[in-house]
Amino acid sequence: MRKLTFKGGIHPPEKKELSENESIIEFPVRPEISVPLLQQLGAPSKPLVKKGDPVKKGQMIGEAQGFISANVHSPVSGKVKDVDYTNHPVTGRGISVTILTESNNTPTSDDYFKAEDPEKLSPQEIADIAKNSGIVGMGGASFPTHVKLIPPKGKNYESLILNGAECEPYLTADYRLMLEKPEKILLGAKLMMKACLAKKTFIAIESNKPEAVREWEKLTSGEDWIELKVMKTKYPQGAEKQLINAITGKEVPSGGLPVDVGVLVQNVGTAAALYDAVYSGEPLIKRVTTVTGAVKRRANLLVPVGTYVSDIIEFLGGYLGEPGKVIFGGPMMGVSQRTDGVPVIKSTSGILVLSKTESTEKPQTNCIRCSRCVTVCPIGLMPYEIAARSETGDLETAGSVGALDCIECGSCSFICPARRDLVQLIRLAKNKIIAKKKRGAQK
Amino acid sequence: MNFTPIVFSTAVVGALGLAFGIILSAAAKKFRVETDPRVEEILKLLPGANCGACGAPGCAAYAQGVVEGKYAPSGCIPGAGVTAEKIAQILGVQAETGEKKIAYLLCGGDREQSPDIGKYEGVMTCRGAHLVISGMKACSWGCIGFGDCVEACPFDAIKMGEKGLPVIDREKCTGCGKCEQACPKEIIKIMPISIPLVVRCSNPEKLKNVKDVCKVGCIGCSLCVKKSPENSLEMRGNLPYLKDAYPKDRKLWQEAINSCPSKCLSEGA
Repeated sequence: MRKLTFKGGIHPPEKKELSENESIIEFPVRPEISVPLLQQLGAPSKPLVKKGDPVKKGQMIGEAQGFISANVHSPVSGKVKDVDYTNHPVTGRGISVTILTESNNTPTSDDYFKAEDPEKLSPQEIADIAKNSGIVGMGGASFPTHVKLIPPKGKNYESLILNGAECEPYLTADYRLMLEKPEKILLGAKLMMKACLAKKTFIAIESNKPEAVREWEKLTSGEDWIELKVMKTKYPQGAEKQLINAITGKEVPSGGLPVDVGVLVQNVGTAAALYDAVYSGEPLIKRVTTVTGAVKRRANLLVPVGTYVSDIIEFLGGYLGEPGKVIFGGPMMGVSQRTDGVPVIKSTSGILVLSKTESTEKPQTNCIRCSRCVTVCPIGLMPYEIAARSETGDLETAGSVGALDCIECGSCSFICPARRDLVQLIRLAKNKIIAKKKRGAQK
Repeated sequence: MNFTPIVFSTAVVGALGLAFGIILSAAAKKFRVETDPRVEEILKLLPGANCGACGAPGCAAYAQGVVEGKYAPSGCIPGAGVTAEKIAQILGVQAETGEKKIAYLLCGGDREQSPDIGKYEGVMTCRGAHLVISGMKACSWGCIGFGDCVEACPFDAIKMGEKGLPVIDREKCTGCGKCEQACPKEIIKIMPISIPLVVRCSNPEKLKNVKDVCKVGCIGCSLCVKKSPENSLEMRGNLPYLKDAYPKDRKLWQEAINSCPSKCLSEGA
């Protein structure tokens, strides 16, 4: 089979061998968990419980506020200890519902609202279930799924791409899910396809996962609605725009969305979450997370949302040597944490621990104009140029050379022989440009 | 020596110059664009920092606008009352001069009071650090101290202090608000220079959470509210705020300021 890919990209060490053979283990519920009310892109949810309230597993504890937002549910039965600020893996501090798990943490699946006949759901009904169950994109960006499932007026989806590329080094959560729960993904994808009215579904898997490819070859053979696409192993193959380009040959216009080229991209984990919501009525309250790097035991865990990292590390026997960095997500786009007292959220695809030696930074030097960043940029930008403009504060030029098109994949920083913080500088420019636009809009 | 060519060329060039001069002066008379001389005069009065605090894209645009009546004579914030009065004089109107406003940093947690709990590697600007889970300082709401405000100040009024908090010069600060925009934590606020009480903390969290991260953070005890003159202080969330009307006499405020157990209240500049 011809391996599909995009222009540019890099080949970081994959390091997937550390955890790829560990089957998914269900992580036991801890006595205390803390569920942040901001687990999605967009506005934080509004708390529905207060201190002292009893909560049931699957009960909605945070309600979506605004168009781009998502509901939050309690992953356990217990009592609300507090609704207050706690550590947050993305914003540093954020409002969370801290819950003390009660000993009789019995599953209350009877309370779950199961769809009576999943085959007969209408597109809007499927989107409503996704909304009620608080489903967000599980790949890492956590965009609320119901928002993009139904195409906006005047536009339509032609194809659905299931993203199983998992191009981030170290991470193996999607891989294990594709091997162990393929039927969930398949049925979830069918629901998605029905909701978004696409004509064809593609499942994209990188060629470094031969077992998953074999498994899915079996599953998709003889099915005419879904087709397996094997992607070249390259970072960032799993980025939305790159995936669309590799599979359909279409390019998402600058400033546009995938819907502009008629494509919907969903992570395989999101499809499985939608399956759970529709077929068993369970909202999104746990996810598969890869815990890897400098930990005693590496694992792929099915973790309840809100579980503290310190509890997970303890469960796995502790750190291997002195930890240098704890990263939520992969090493390329993940967020480095300040403490291990942070809870896992819906978008936590991995917890990567780097040892002290692995995480020491080498000093950066001046740009030597080698243009390697230009060669690898999957969007075709000039990262060195945007970074230089960002440094001098020339936002106008930074914007005019495409700062806002950057997907922050970090390929430029990875390849830079002068070790410059290219992607960080570009992010900074993006943030400043957006802040300026907002100020302008207010006036 | 033959002087003829010299005399000849001088005469030609002189005649040409004279001719063009006459044409130009005639054109200048004929195609004259009427400009208001007051625009020039006002422009001379303005500080020339092009800070944009007035809302116009620069000093020249403001000068033009103020003559046309688009902006108020007191619109120039860096120029403050003095400039406003002079502008009003030129325009022959009464200026409504507001009180001078300056920037205040609403954080007192320097490196000793609220130390770093992580190591930040990357672009050494506040906004850069803030983008990575709100920075490496123990208090997520407080000043990071890389000096985005120092960089942003067009009047050289902000210096980075020894303990990692910016110090604002009350004389040089014009209240243009550039630092307010630059600060990613939104903890620099433009307030009247005479303000009797400044809360040097922006952490909205509760007692224990604040104490864990900073020695001089506001713990929300509301003692100052009880001691405030004419009840002109109120708690919003876990922080005290001045109400719209408050007594300006600083002596009245001493008790409230001294009542703070965390020492996070101070007088205005």
